[in-house]
Amino acid sequence: MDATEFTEWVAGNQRQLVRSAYLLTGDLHRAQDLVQEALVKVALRWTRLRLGNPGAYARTIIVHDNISWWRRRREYPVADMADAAAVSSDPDAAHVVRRALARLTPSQRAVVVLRHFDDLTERETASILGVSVGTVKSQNAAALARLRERAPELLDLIGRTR
Amino acid sequence: MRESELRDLLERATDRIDAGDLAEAALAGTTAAHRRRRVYAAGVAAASVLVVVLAGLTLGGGGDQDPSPAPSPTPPTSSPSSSTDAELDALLALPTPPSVDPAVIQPMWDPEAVADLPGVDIGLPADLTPPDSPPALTSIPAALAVVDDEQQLFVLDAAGAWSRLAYPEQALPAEFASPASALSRDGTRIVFTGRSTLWSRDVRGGDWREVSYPDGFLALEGWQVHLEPQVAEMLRLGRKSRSWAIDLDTGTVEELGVDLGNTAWGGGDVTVRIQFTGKPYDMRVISWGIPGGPERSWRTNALHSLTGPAADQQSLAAVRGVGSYGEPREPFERNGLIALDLDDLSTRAYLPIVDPNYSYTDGGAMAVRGWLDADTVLVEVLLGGAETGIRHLFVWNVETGDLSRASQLPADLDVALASWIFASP
Repeated sequence: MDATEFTEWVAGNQRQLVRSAYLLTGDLHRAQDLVQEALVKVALRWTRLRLGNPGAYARTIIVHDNISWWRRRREYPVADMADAAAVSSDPDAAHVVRRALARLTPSQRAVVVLRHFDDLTERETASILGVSVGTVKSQNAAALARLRERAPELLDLIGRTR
Repeated sequence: MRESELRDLLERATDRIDAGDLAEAALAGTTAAHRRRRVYAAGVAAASVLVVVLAGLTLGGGGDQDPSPAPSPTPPTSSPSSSTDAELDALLALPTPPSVDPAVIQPMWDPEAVADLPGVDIGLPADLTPPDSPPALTSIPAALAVVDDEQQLFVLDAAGAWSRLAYPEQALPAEFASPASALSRDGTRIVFTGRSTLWSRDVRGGDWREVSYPDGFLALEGWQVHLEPQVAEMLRLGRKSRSWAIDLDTGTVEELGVDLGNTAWGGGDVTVRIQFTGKPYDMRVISWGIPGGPERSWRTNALHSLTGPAADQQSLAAVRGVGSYGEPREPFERNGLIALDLDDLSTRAYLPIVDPNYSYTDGGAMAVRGWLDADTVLVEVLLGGAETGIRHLFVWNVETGDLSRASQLPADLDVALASWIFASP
């Protein structure tokens, strides 16, 4: 495999992957573990993936591993302000986001992160999650409705950014 | 809310996260993986020699063979940081399952076609969606199923009648956790995890009773619960790698030290554990035994990842995910449902499935619910996503390969089943 090429690809994508995984999990250490494991799998298949879309492959691994982990554990990390300060220059915002995302199901949460943080299209999101585009649309609508209903503090923060 | 505003907020909430240098670690990981494959291959060769020697000794020993299962070396369970060569030696000394007989591999099946399967009556209605306003539960001999919509429980009895069971007012779940409910496999006892205690109810009568959580159990973080069929009062409850057995009548607690997600309890106290050692060896081990008796273990890397297991006294069934993502493969190198004979861990049957996105295996959308008799298992598969999809329950006869559709319910409802009292199809 071309290690230089792989290293360059990782350098350009690793931060976004870890941030995305953090929003999926709410736990920085688990996010780093998920990304690390996914990158090993990408590296093992780099020769084949390099001409395709290694980012989509990595996200597929991360999302599926996380949902699989959640189904086995059914756990949500408890929010902690010290953790929030470690991930954001605005700990209040990080704390609110973390609590709000924890109110979503794993699938809704994945749709929100892939669509609104990773800027993927509905089709790309559907491909990664292994569901139809229609399911992505309905999951996204349900997630945003749940955030409006159960996380009004999120709306307050969005208002503050204007 | 506007989507651009949400994106800005998500950006701001993670702007200090820095990934470091993950490429170097990933490349080191691939090197370790290649090295492990070489060590593993060498180990397989060494173990083969050992088997030949032992077989010769056994044959030379005359007719005094002990028919009871012999205990095999105990696989290490310590953390990766304390791994030693002795641990690797112990892993490599474990026997491996026999090669898979091509005759047991069945035609590939697409779970998307589950709704087209012929229907079969195992005592469940074709649709497990509860009615709008069933009467309150008073007393029934046993429940076939308990459906949980996170607001209340709906109980289905053997005559097909539904009743409603409200959570106690003070038992509402903690803010960040879904309540987990379980039904004993004989159908007589329900438990669920409340805010600060467990709650237990006999469907034959009585009220909800509280049982304290074990020391060290953090109620805010989520859980799994299992009710044992042969001891209806025993609850196994886990958090991360910690798990406990709790006698619901006495409150007696015993820490178990098993991962509930990868453990199956069969009849007669049989316990099957599916372990993955993690780094540095990445070995897979399956062990089974009964309390106080010998435990038998096999090194099962060749079987790849097994999840969603269910056991009876003779067999283990599980969902099998293989590691070569997206490449064309032979039937046994595709994901599928596997049935293993616990006597020697030989493969009784393998049903390859179409799983292009690994959603049934890595995504956890398929799991074996239990054995209905010695040859048939009840399997759940989720189609269409966890919110708007449908959970289908189908039956797989591992001997004939016959598949049939048993029941279904909306994906946003959780169902616990009293699998031991189902009829065999």
